[in-house]
Amino acid sequence: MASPLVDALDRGLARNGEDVVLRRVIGNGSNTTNIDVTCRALVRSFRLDTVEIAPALAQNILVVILSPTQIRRAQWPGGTAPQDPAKFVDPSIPRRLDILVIKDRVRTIESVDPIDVDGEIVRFNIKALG
Amino acid sequence: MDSPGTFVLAARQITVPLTQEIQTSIENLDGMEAVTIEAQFQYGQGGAAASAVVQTTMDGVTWRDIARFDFTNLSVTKTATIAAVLSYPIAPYVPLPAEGINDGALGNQLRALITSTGTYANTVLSVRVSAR
Repeated sequence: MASPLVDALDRGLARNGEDVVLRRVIGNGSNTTNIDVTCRALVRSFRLDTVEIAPALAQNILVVILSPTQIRRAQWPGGTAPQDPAKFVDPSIPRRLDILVIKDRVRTIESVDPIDVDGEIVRFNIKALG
Repeated sequence: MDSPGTFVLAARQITVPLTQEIQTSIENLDGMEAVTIEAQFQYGQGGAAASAVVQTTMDGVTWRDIARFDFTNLSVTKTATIAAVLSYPIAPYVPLPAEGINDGALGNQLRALITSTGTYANTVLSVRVSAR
């Protein structure tokens, strides 16, 4: 059963959020495959700020609050290879260089802060660039 | 069923040889009556052979092969559908030594086993299912 905190977040996101696609890209070069899940999220710009990546070329900084509900329901990203227990990282936690597709624009996740309450992740605070 | 939908059983690059590498399972599929499996092999270079075996379990301990997909040095996408809505005659369970299916039996979990020989490069294997 989901935490009341997750339920409250989901209610808020249902009213005020939007659908985004969380994407993990497997492989590189010419052979890649995407693992997608559509999530509910609240997307805001960070003080309308941008990061300059070249003269006259900047990318937006977005702050995204993402619910874990759709990730759990889809069991995203699915089956994964065994990990060294000493270095275990939960594959269902979005990570740097995963993709968010927001309003049909591809944004790259820069950092993720999973908010954990009593051993359960109740939301993801994400900074994305693009 | 409890959680119909599409799920990823495996999505990984194939590089060094793998011997029945068990991918984590997809759970909570109680009531599943059919599953369509799509195995996509995107070949790059090198390697000799690779296979993906899809398994199910009825007790969470013992896993049984329901489909096996074999690949060599060619990009290809293969599909199979397993159904458990009809009655099937009694048949002994036999693991799949080569490409094929064991139809008629679905538990409440699915997983994939990946095996490869030779060293592949720039090669991706993905196994996705639509459970319903």
